[in-house]
Amino acid sequence: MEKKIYLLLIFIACCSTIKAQESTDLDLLRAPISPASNLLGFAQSEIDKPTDVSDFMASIQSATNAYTTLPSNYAIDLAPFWLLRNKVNMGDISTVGLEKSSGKNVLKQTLVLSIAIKNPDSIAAGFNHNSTYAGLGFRFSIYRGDYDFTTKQKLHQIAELQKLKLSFIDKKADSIYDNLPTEINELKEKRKRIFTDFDSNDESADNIALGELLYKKQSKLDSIISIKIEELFNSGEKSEDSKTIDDKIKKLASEFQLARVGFSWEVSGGVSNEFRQKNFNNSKLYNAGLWTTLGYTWEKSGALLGILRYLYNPDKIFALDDLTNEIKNISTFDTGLRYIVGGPQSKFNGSLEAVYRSVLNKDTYDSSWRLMLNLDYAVLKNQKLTFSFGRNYDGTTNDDNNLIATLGTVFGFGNKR
Amino acid sequence: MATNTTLDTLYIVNSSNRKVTLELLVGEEGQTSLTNIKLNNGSVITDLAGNFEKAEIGKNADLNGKVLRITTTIADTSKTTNLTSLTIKLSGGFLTRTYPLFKLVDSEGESVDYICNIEFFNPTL
Repeated sequence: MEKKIYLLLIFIACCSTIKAQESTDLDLLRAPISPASNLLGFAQSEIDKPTDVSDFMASIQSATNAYTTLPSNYAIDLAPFWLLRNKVNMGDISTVGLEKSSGKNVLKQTLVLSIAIKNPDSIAAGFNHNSTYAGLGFRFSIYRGDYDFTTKQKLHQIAELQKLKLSFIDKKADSIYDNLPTEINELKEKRKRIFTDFDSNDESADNIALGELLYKKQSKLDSIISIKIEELFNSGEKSEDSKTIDDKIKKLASEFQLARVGFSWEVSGGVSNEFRQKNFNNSKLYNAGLWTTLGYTWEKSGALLGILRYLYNPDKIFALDDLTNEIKNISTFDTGLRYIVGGPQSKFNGSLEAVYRSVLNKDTYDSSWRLMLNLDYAVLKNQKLTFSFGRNYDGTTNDDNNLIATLGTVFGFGNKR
Repeated sequence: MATNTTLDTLYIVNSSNRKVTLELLVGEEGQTSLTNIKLNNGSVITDLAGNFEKAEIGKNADLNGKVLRITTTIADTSKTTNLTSLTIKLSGGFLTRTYPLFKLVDSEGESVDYICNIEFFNPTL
């Protein structure tokens, strides 16, 4: 079946009129992952996404030529919650904690700040090469959906196996502590003697300082005792039952994918400024946008997404993507719908999307719309075959050049995640 | 990378009636855990998935000589990291203590078992 779908996609693509387009947006209804970078025309691959403070510092150091200059062309996405993971109270970030669909933690966990700086060269369309552009954006989810049936089922299966595993661990731990070798018992007694004559009821600053010192001395013996107990725990053959449980958990856990269904609501926005003659005292608003994406994903019958999008000075004047916006100070409002066929964990996905664009502050331009069909098939975990087919309409009939179709493959190198 | 999956320690208490609290944080992002907590032979909680929110486990004066046993198993279901960790926080005794335990698994899906034995000890008695 999978092979047939694969061959069918290749066949459809070969029979279609393929029109090369420099930049075809295949899923307009997806709010930008990185709003500021999107406003300034950065590709996803050009955006730095540091996962911790060290990564972030390395990124800044590289962009600023070791802190000696201002970044020239630089885009970065910062997820404060994950970036400062060791500095803030994370709450529960295990699969149980991440299950929540909404609330304070969801906002914190999904918040992404996007920053971009661009010094365009003379061939960059829509930009003045004598200016510097800077953008700032944000993105967060208000609702992110609930775990789907498969995710819940796998978590339940893992939990049942872990219950069995813990019962083995508890029995072994009890047995070890009930029969501790003399050597370990002596070390434990020695550890207690560190606190001989220490008064834990005295909470004066001096006594607390003394307590800290004794704790340091104690922690050395803690390490020695812990290592010896770990050796005892790991000694001896693992029972067949225990091995089987480990294998089953590993199989389930390695294939585990966290997928969500139900209602979702995401908000993104961004604004960018143009600094004329690269002078920070001479600036004007270049473009801006505010998006909200609402959707509902069903277990089996796909997902319906709706978008409301306000753009100030968009890069395209119509919903179709082949006419660059040459007019300034224009505002547009997009409404769109997208229906996606295929479950959250299925290999084959198809979507049909429609976008309607209204020009808000210029009577010269009529509203326009666009329709697009996208198909994709996950050949492997990190390889996708994609097919897109669409028709758009700008108010004037043109039968020749409004059909676009592209066939592409997306390959991920390295880890198959 | 060094690993630390077993903890055996003393937690110093005094003769007051101040509450001693326990909190467990299971990390990292997207991992799946189960925990049993016992105080002497009585169960504090069984088959707990995820974190153990800060809660009282007894008063200083009542805890001397008792043993807190925490056993946790963490399955690496995370797509972003292979590091598993368990952080134990005890407060309300003579000093607040945080015990970080961690292990990096070799491949996705592996499990790490953590065993912790904390004896409450009042040196003045």
